[in-house]
Amino acid sequence: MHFSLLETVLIAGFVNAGLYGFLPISIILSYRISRTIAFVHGGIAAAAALAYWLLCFESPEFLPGEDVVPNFILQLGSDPDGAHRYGSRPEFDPLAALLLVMVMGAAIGAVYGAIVMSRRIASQNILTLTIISLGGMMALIGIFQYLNVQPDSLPASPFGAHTYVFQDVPLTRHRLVTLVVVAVLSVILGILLTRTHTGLVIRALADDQEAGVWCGIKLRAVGTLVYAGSGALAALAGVLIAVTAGPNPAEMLLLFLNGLAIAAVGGMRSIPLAFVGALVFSFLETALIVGFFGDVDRAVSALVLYGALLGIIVTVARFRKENVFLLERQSL
Amino acid sequence: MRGSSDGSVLTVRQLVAGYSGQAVLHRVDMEVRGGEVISLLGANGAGKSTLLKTIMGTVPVIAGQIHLGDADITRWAPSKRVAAGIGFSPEGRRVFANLTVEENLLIGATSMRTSHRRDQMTYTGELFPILANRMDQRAGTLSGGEQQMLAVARAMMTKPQLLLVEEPSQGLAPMVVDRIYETLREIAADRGVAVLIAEQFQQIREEFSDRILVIDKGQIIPDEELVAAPAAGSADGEVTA
Ligand SMILES: Nc1ncnc2c1ncn2[C@@H]1O[C@H](COP(=O)(O)OP(=O)(O)OP(=O)(O)O)[C@@H](O)[C@H]1O
Ligand SMILES: [Mg+2]
Repeated sequence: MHFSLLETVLIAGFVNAGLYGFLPISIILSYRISRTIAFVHGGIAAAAALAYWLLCFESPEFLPGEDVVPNFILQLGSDPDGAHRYGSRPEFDPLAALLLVMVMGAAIGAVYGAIVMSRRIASQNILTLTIISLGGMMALIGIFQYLNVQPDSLPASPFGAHTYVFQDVPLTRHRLVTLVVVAVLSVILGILLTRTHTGLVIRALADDQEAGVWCGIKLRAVGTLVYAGSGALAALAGVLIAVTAGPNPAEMLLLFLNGLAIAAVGGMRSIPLAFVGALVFSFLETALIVGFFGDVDRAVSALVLYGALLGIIVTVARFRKENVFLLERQSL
Repeated sequence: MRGSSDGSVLTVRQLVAGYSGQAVLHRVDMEVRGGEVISLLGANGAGKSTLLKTIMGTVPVIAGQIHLGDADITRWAPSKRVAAGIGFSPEGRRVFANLTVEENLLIGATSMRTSHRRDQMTYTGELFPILANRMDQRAGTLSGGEQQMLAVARAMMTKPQLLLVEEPSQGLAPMVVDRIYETLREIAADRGVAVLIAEQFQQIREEFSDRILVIDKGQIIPDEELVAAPAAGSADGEVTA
């Protein structure tokens, strides 16, 4: 081991954990209310990343007075000559693009929520609901495949491009702000869940949806709200990840699976525990990347990463005396 | 003003209801008045749960009507029925195990205005003093009897005019059952609530009921036939559970 790198691992790992904290939040929120894994959020994240890139990538050939409408709107479908070009236009302000894309994520989430939280569908078994969610994800990705977008550059960060140096470790403003946003969001969510009646309702539905309905809870309205919120968060996650990893849907799905594994550390329920998972994952990943353990093969790296996550998942579940995913509580 | 112009809180007329278009209830007629305790008796699979869930709005109506007071609630959403004054304590209690007693009660008051929710706590606290001392305990750790009380208390949080209670005696010692029935009696007598209790035959508590209805194969047995063959349904009722 190269202990000279320890400081780098700790600082960069900590800061990067912010990125890994996002997806689990929206996965956990929707799991709590529907008890299904919201694959659809992976689709929203991937779609949001691409939409963001389309909105604000730099168009070097832009000349004032040229067509500002992106060409892809005019020529849908696959193009035998290769990927579409998107016209030339001034780049869109990244922060505005982020907000726009989050609104899109919220809208997709709301529509999805209104459908799956209608009483008829909500009472289906977990497997059916999970497959519906998977279908939603594939549909979203399919739509963007149809646009045949081939992003060839990283989109700009909505938070600006500055890089700070702390103890010789370069830290981008993007990652720092991401960390702060995750921290603030989780505090807000924690307050919402524990201090408001809507939060109480969400926790009650996680225990027993049907009993909730008999208590006068408007299942569909609450479900739509939660899915809209988690959809916006998934879109935010997609954009923030796209800035560092590129807006490639396949990449995004891999990251979504990481998010899933991290959410599982919190038993699909606890956001703070998921953050612990995000931290461990991030420290380990950073350590592997910067060569803390020496030269490790990629495949071995992946094994170490997921093995460690699985270890924590099982340990946490043991410690809480609960099954992984709390399957024994399902009653509907 | 509670109840309809003729005084009945719940009126069920020619009700046909069931699952995926398949009728389980066949032309059920029933009436419950304010201040009255009615026991609905039936064997396993007779249709007690189906009837109560249809009144709550979570089993679809195929034909017939349900009135709450003068309002035709046949097509209302469950949340609207709760807000209009129906409380339901379901089979198996179904308390929210991970929430505290207090939080369970607050959920029961979801359809009330925010400012009224806490006041309701006093109202139900008077019904079940045992719960008042356990407000911060997780509902999943309560005893069976306490959970049953919590389920009834939760259903009372909206000050309903109709209280539906399903199998309150399930798995409880006779003394505890008596206490719960006494409270249900009190809810009807002192607060004018119409109380409908569904039970298995062997759990019959005649001394606490004003009237007894028997349901068999999705139909209410008329009184005349009951006199001829008391509790006939228990012997030949379709057993499904
Ligand atoms: N979700 C459902 N889908 C289809 N059929 C159902 C469903 N729930 C109940 N049934 C059927 O409806 C009939 C009446 O059942 P119900 O649960 O109302 O009886 P019950 O009187 O409450 O019995 P128990 O005393 O065992 O609770 C049974 O034949 C049952 O199989
Ligand atoms: Mg039943």
